[in-house]
Amino acid sequence: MHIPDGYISPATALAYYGATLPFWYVSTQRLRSQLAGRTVPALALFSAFLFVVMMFNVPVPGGTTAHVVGSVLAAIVLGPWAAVVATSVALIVQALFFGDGGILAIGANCFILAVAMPLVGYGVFRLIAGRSPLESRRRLLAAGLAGYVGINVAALLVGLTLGIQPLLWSENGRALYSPYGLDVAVPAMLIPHLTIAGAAEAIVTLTGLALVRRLSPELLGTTTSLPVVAPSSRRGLLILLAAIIVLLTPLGLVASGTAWGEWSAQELEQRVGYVPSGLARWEGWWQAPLSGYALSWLPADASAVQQALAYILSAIVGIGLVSAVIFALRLLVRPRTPTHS
Amino acid sequence: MPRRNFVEKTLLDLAGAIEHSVYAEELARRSGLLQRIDPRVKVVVLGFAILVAASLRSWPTQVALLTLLVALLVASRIPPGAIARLLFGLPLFTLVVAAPALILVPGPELLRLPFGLSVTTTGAWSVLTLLLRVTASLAAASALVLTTRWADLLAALRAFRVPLVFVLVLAMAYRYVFVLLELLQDLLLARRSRLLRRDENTEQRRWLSSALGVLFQRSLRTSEQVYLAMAARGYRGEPRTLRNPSLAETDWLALSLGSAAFAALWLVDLARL
Repeated sequence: MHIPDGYISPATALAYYGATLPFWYVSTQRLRSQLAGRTVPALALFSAFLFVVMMFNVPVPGGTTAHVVGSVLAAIVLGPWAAVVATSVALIVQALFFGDGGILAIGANCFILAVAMPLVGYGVFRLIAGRSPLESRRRLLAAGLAGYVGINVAALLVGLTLGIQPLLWSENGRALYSPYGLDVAVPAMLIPHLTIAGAAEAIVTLTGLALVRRLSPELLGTTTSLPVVAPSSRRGLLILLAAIIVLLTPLGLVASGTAWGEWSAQELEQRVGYVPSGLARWEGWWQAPLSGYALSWLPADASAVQQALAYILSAIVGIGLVSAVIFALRLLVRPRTPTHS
Repeated sequence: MPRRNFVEKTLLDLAGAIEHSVYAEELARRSGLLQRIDPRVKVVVLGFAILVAASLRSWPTQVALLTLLVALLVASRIPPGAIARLLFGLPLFTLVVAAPALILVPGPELLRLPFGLSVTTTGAWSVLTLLLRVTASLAAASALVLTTRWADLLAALRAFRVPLVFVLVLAMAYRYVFVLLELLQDLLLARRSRLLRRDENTEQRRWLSSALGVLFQRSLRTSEQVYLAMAARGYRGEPRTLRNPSLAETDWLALSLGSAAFAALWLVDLARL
């Protein structure tokens, strides 16, 4: 489920970072005011809890086991914002320390599993649970279904993300990243999640909520020390907004991704039948630094010596550029150090 | 032999995670090349290496990058066995996942297979590119993570103005992951030692949900206690480390040389077009 590094292009990865940052910002701001001084220990423990939940092998009807994400359960019990932060932290610890999921892909994994999944799941939960009493059976079923929908939305997003890679980043027919198109990547992600992993997620979300309701009912009531579950119309609006953004993400990726490569605009037109309107605006911006390099270095009839010279020259330019950047960095960093001591 | 049930599987996973982290901490304490370099420099240079690994398009530059990174790992006294395990695990998985692409990617025929299928040259290149990319990314990430202690890495993040709340949460989450992992391990071991026959699926799920509940309650209670303990000790909220805050000359050298090498590889790759 976690996307490793190398499967998606840097443009995709950075686009996902861009999409995730506002959610991180909004959720930390909200939690800071809601939890006051307790923010840090509370979030840390929730993250640790989710990390452990991700390690569970859940027995699924039929005899196999599957791993779960648990972010929908977190959203229902702790509120969507706490779920965003706690799942993100758990994913970052996994990426940095256990090599589950890439580092460049942290943005993508966090957006899919820690933003889209809990927010969509929470939306589904609120929609189905409605105003039913806290101890009703309907709420439990709503939770199970929310977990199921959440994990499948996440799987769909992973499938779409991987599926657009060969469409946008190929070179002479050779895929530069994940090689499967949408027709393969989306079913490959969805089929196991619609069945096994979806069932595991539903089980954990449902039984988790049942347990919390029995053991710590004060968490779910209105007189809670963590008032993150209290409904408000503004939150509903935000969730709706989030859901719309989630739905638009594949489009946004196509639009910004096209701009990256000189090679993909025509290809996209061939395959999709049109070029996203964002393309015209972004194309010039990216092509200037990138294709400028590539074309001016090497004329088509360059000899081997010329090629070698070009390589050496480019290496020297690289060293020069980097040294300049580092020198500037050094000037920036130096004055700050005395204030430390 | 009966199939492993979820208790056994989860126990194995837990043991693996704890073992991995202990081993990683041990590696980060060795006196190798990368361990001696300031974590801030490593975050910049190896972060850049990860970006370069994701961007390279030709196999010679990919191989050169991979070689360079493996050389760094070896120079940092990471045992060859550990490097091999690291660099073959995920790539092997990738190979299995990507193998159908040999046939599915359309292109000129390279090798004819039975049933009218054929391996295409573009398919083979796609798989090779992906494999090299995944391995190089993993090598760069390992070079950063395996040679840097967690506290130092967090201090480095703080130096790059990552918000304090975020760094603190990361730091504490990492600490309490192990508390909860051990608790879960105890729960699972206690269950396994009391079990005489294979239990039913529904029974397993019931037990699982109560374990989940115990863990959740424990994390709630612990978070409250931790907060009180922190406040009682005058919690001011800046993570501390014994590293020197200013960069030594060797760090600047490492920063220049490292970034220059990776940038050179990238430019060579771009110039190839």
